[in-house]
Amino acid sequence: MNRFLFPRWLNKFLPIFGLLALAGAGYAGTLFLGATDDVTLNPGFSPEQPVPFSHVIHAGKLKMDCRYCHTGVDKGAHATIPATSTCINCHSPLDASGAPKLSAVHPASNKLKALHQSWETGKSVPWTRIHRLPDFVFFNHAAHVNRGVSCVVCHGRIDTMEKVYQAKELSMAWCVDCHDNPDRNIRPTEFVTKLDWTTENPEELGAKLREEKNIHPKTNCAVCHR
Amino acid sequence: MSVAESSTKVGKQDYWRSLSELEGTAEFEQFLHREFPQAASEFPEGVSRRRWLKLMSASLALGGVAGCRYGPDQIASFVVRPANAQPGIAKHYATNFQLAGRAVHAYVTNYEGRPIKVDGNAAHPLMKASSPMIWVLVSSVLQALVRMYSHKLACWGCMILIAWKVFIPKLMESMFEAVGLTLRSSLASALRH
Repeated sequence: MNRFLFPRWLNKFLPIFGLLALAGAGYAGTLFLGATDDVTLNPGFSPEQPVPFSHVIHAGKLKMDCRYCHTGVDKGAHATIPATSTCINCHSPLDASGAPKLSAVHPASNKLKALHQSWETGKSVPWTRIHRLPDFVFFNHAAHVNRGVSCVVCHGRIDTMEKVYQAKELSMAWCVDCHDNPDRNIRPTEFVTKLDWTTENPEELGAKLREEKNIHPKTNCAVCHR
Repeated sequence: MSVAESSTKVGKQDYWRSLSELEGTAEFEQFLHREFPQAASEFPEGVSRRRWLKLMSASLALGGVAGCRYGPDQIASFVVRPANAQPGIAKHYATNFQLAGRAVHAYVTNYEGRPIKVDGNAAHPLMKASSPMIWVLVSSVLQALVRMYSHKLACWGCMILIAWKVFIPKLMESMFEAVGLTLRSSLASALRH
């Protein structure tokens, strides 16, 4: 007999191998479910920020356009958190003579302390990131905004949030869901930053706009996982 | 025993193997006579060695659980954002600088504050006949400079300044002379036309 045969005594290890395989599958399953679970993905995440900035006042009541602060949103991948100087345009601190330099909206407010400190020291305001995708996902704001996907689709009604929280899941399934059926989320680009905009038949309008602008969202891996 | 004391009783046996031995501090004496620091080799009363190991290994293993959840990220926004700076999008601009005594017209690609490519400005009438080799060199030198500057050390700054003002022009000039690729002649020919 030249053929190699496993010795018979190895047979008693077979159930152990079986058990190991089962345990491995269980482990992988737990990892997968854990990684895609809602709680893991963190909707509702609403950390304390250094400045209690209210989108209700700025975007809701004062009706400032999103792009006054998030200037990069229609130009590049990042929406960009506004520079301290953007805030200082209205909320400039009091200088030595007791007068604000640019304009006097709450120049001595305690809530703006972190902001004024940043302005005086030249160090960033340490904002905490709320909408956070994994490092292997490359989301491009401009690509969406310029095709008529409104801010509200992914961020919810930011203009009604006193304190910003993550409104949507931001999971891969959720992304792909819209990439498969984008019609309901595409609107005329002039209403992209108008979060309370509604239309009678969004699906129909979306389909029409897609046809006009030749919008075909892709779902192959390399679109987001570069 | 201080250094002075030890030096007074110089004998044949008085060799020392380290400065701390020579100094003979209390810490050194302790280190010499005890293998472990005080109380390190004593187990707590009432807890068996086995139980102790169990607790320690469990805490070590559970320490890994802390890595199961990512912590919050911070966003460091600009205090004053440079004009037209959009993270992730390169800026291009035309500029001039002096090289080996001549004005050179460059087209710079700048990515998030770092010059990643310096090229001859093809749109400039004087730069029609520049050699691409120069720009490869300038690009790499400039990148090295930017990396050095990030250390914010004055002496580095001086070295770079010397390199930029003296050494590189000399190097360039001699290189041009040697290879026959003189910027001067290319400029001159460009001027003639």
